[in-house]
Amino acid sequence: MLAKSNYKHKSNITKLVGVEGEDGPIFIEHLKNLYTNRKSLVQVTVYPAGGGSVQDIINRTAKKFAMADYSQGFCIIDDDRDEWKRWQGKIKNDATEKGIQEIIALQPICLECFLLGLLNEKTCNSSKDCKSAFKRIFKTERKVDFDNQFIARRFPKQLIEQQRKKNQLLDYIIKTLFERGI
Amino acid sequence: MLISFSVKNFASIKEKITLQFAHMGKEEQSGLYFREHDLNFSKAVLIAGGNGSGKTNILKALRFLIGFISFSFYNKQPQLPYQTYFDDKSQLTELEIEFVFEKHRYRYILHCSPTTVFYEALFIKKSSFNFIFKRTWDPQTEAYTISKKNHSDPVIQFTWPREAKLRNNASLISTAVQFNQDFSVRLKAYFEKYQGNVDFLGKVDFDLADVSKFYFENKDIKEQMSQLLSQLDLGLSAIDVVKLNTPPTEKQEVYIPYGTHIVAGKSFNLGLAVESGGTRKLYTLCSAILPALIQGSVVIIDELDAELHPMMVEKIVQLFLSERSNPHHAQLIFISHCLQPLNMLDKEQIVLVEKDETLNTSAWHLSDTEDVRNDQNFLKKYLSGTYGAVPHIGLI
Repeated sequence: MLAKSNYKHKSNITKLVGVEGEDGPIFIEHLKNLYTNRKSLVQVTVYPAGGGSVQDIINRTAKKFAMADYSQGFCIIDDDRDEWKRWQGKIKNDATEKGIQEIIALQPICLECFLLGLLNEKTCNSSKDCKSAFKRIFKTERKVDFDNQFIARRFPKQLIEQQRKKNQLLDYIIKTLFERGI
Repeated sequence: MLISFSVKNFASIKEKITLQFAHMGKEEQSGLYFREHDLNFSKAVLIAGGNGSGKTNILKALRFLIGFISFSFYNKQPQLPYQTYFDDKSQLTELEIEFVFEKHRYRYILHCSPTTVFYEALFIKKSSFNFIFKRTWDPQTEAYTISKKNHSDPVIQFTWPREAKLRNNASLISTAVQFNQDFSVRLKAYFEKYQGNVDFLGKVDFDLADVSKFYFENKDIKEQMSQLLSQLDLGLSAIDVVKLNTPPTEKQEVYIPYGTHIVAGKSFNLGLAVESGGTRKLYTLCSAILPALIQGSVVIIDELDAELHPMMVEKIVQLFLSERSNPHHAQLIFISHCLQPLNMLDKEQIVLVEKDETLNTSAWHLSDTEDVRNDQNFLKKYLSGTYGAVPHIGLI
């Protein structure tokens, strides 16, 4: 009984991903479910980092990051934030100091615009218009603003795999967040 | 002293899992172990994992086995009190425990179904393990074959009374106890010292009335409990228990615990029933912990942290780790969702538990994970998911 087991469990690479808003975390969680499972050696924690300024989102993610020894920390925000456009360098440096190694901005404009693009729908010029268009197009399909089943149905793995071939940002998100090597 | 325990096909545990409470190797100097029989015995072992992962089932299996060895003769039900893995009848339940009793090292093995013992054996460690008795079910004759080995040491003589009738679901030890067989009586008494709040059904809350009666009858332990609790910043200067006879017949005795608070130089007594949940938890917990510390026995606690501040949990673990408070080498085996103790213990003393997609419980020591060093911050690594055995909670 005292003989040591030959089998060794492997440690996981752990990634914390703070995502802006309420809808963003659901989409990233969906990707996580498509590309990782319990046995994956990458364990991703998707953290709904709420709203407010980019700095608020980074601060909340950084606090969560400091509570545990994650291998890597990320933030995902909309690209259309004024402060992000103006002070990107400073915000990135500040985040790095707090352990958040990368901020990924969803392009073009925002999450809804990014998702409309994945569905080959026409995108708009502003975040407000994209959000309205998104609501209008899917108003009969969605029970609540952003529900998990809607996302799973509308963005199946087959579609995601097709789109990542032409959408570099999607491919980068999947590789960065859900693969062990990066 | 407990060395190891393994279980297979019991409740949510399909595949064999083994917990080590002692390990070989050179003498550990960390203070987290005590040394006997050339083994390093863990003073505390933490079992951690998500809700519903099967942690309690492991302790249930341990309590079941101890209960089976000692008390199964008294079980008049045809069924043994456990379930196989989702009613799996294709394989037997296998349980094994290794322990030190009266300075000898023993191994006990049980293979059974919920109705029948198929194999039961007790071994003693000399240069290797030699059997004391073996009991094997012969399906041809539908009877047991019992083999015994005579040992030169008279204190380990197991004799099987000729007149004894052995039931399919009773242990040899518990049956022999009925005939006052000395070795069996002593072994049963040894296992009775295993304390805790888990039985074969799972977590069983301590009963305040039973605990109060225990303190009333064991004044020394009550004094130690009172002293300990008054040092834990609970606002108490002492705890005592009074015995009252209830009207109208005054035949029934009740034991009432109360705490003494000193406010502005004046003493106030408050019944324990109106003290905080945490105070009551510590009061009842001490009824298992203190006897274990005094006797050097094993204490098995589920949800040690329930109702307790994390620093209280640390303090309780510290009681077992300190040579001063644990000079007789008691062992604490505990489940906790308060995970500060992860950073108090070695990787050999941390058991991680998780369930897979077939709802099978698997458990392993943190030391069985690659690249884990004792200088890592186990708490932060665990919380990040590095070691696994964390709940996978999706977004709602």
